[in-house]
Amino acid sequence: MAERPTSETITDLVHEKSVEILQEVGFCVPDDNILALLMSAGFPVFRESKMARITPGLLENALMTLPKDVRLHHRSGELLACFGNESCFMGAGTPVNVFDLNSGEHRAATWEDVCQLVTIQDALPQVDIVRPTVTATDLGPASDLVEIAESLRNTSKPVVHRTLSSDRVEAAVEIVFAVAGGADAFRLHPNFATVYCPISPGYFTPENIHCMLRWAAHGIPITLLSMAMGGASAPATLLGELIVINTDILAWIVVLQTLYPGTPLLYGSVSAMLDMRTGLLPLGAPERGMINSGAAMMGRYYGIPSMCGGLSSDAKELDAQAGFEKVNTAIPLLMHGADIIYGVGATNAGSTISYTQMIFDDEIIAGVRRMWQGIPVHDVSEEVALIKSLTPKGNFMSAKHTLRNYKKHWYPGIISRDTYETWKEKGETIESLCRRKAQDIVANHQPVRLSANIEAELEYIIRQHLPDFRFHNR
Amino acid sequence: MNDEIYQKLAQAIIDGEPEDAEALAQQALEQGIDPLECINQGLVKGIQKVGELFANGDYFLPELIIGADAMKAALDVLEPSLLEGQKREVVGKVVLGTVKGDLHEIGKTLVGTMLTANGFKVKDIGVDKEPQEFIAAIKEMDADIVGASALLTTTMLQQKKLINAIEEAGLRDKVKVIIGGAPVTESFAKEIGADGYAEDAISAVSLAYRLMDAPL
Repeated sequence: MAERPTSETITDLVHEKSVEILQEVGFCVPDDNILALLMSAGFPVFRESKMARITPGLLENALMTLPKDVRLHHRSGELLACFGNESCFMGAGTPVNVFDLNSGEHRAATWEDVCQLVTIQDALPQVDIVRPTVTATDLGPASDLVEIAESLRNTSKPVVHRTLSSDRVEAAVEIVFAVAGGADAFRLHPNFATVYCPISPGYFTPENIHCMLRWAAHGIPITLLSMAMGGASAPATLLGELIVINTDILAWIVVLQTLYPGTPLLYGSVSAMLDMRTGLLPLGAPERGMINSGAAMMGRYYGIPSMCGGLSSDAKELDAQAGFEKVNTAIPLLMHGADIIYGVGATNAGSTISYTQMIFDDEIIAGVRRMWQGIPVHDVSEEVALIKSLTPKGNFMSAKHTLRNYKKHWYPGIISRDTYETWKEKGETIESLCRRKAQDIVANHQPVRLSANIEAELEYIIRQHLPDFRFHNR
Repeated sequence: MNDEIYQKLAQAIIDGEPEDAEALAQQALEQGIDPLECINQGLVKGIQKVGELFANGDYFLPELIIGADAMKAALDVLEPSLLEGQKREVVGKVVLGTVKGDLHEIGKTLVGTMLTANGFKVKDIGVDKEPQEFIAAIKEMDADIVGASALLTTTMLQQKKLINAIEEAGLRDKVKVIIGGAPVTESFAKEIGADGYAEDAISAVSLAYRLMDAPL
């Protein structure tokens, strides 16, 4: 096999070039007050062009205060055990469209969809971290607060979400702290992280900057999530695009660590390579997993968790394309040890969430997780004795060893292993099975609820932004 | 002699060489060749060939974009020298911009390039634009179509505000409104009363032709 470059070759090069760009050109901070803040913190600042640069000293300090032990927890305070040990899988999000739970119709997503999709993620064993996955388009601009609250009350798994306006960060933080039992309890066992995206190359909107600074002031973990588009907002080579991704993220690692030392940060990328036939951004392409595996490498290089876009698809229905793309975009991320693989439930290039795809993603994840274990090495004396005793022509099925071990293999919940005749008789498709399972979870799964007091408190907080707000099913 | 320079101009566009196109246009003017003929026999032929190669799948967007850039470079030289009464033929005039609160540029610019390459005159007013800025550009250009882009779920509602403002300005009968951007859908376009929606830059061209009642 051909020799591949080691990830050290890539990470050293990408870091070095990012530092060069950040020292020579810098990054845009389109807000005079924040520019002034950066100037007094020691950043070289250029008021005309609204650019700031980093210095070796700032970089060194930032990488020193950057927490290397970021962990996520369940609402109960229990550690998310898989985090840091293997790739965890997270819900996608948050587009404005959904394929309807019952009819499959493509329509605008609602508050009810948020509740149902979170409930399903709570029930699915392979989903480790939950997102609202869709925007509640029936609630107006302040929907982000409801999305956060509904996520935290419909699952006890860790949650990732954001506010779109800095005016709502304080309310969002109150919600997060209320659920955790206070700021100190939260910081001890964080079960929530937020997420903000730059516009590549080298730009964050003033609103997103204000949001990040407010979350950081409360010590809440922030994901710096690049959405670079190779060939459009970044170079058309994978390495060139990775330099843009890393430059944008490194700039804000330095800013956030300088202004709020010790803020927990995650290294995120949901980047992709533009399709030059159409100008669309295909998320099921092999390059999707390839480029975001770079974020897994760079996250590890800086010692912080990575959140990488994969398990993605451009398919419009649960078909062969969906199966191929979902697996194909997850493999590079598994291979390079992404801490979080970000994509459960998404289809149609991330523009639509699908209930049936979400159910099938759970099946895919179970399968790839099993495959990823490889051949474990262990003491084989029992096997060797068994082989000797059963050679020639023996049958291993009645051996106790078989009984103890066969369940370690993967058994599908949805995929058909039936004979043709049986399959035909059942008359089920993957689509119909997934739909029924989604409906069944929505009807019957009971997430562990918050106490009535906390729910009332959340309603009170949300009402400051959405008058008369009440949870539907308190 | 003139044919040779027309052909070279066309080739500069097909090859995507803005500097060559500009130099050739300059050279043509110096030689006293009719600028309108340079446009019609050179540039238009070139960009049509680029369009053909794109439609056949030989060219992708980068070739198309750099071809359009080459055409623009030559037009910038030739258009100011058009004689009194001479006018470049265009399919229609389009104002394009990204709505207030939204800073996303690439999709909108791509639509502009595609429309330019297909014979439209395009005025791109940039990003984060108030309805009044769109309206000023529509009036100034006497535009047939206005295109409003929004990438964010939070800013797509600005597209509706723009339509309302165009109505209030009494321009709704004069200008067709088309919208686009990742979160935008056909049903959203209908809901807010837009004249059209295209899901990508390529379908934006056929949409614009349809709205102009022009054969594609």
